[in-house]
Amino acid sequence: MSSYKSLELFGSGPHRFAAEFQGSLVVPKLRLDIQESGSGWLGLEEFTLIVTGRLVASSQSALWALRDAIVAQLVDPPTAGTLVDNTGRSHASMSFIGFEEGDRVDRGRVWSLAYTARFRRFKTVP
Amino acid sequence: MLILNPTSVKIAGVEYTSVESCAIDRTAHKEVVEWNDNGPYAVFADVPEQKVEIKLTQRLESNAADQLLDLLRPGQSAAIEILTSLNSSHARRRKLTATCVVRAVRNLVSVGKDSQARRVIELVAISSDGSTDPVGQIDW
Repeated sequence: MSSYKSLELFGSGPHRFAAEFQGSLVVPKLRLDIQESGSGWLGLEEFTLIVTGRLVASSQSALWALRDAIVAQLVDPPTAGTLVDNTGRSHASMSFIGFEEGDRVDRGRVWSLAYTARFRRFKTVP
Repeated sequence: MLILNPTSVKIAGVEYTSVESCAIDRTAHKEVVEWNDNGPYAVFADVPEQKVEIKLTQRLESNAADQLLDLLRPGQSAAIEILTSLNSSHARRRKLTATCVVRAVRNLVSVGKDSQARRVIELVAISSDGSTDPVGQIDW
């Protein structure tokens, strides 16, 4: 069972974890005001995990409660916490940086909403 | 739901005779199927958008007045009323009603020894508020 800061934010419905690109940030030297061909290396990208899933509730108000609980974890500045994925693996020092909802609430047998949540391990803690 | 030889069919107040069948099909317009990280099988499915389609098949008989009817056009909104019963008596009569939008009106002719002409009217039923079943049923 997944959790963030020991809160079960996404457990109402199915959700999956995936890591964004990991590796070096490489840009053309021209972007660095160096007038020659080739690439400049700017260090490793920050580690980012994406959670894609669907919140599921029996009523509209219950779905809003789930949405509000997630959005309440978006704070300024972001604060780091431990993100535990579906396999039980812990990812320490992850900051919750974004929550994007699908284009509509689906109302069939239940109320549900697709989403994408984004967590990042900042190199420099805000 | 399939109604064979309904007792009476009215569309936009006009009686359609010799209706052989009335099929009311319910299909998923949008399916939501989700998987998680634990295995290959879907763990969630729902149908948040459904389509209720009605297809009437009318036998066109020679010299029948209804051959001349050209009242329905795609996009037109019309109320449909279907009366049905178990047999030719009035026992357990039911009336189905729906507000529909015409999707297509097709005229089919088969030639040969058993030449027949049929009109197929396809409609999509619409709900008054999105949550009420667009097809109402009452005992009649």
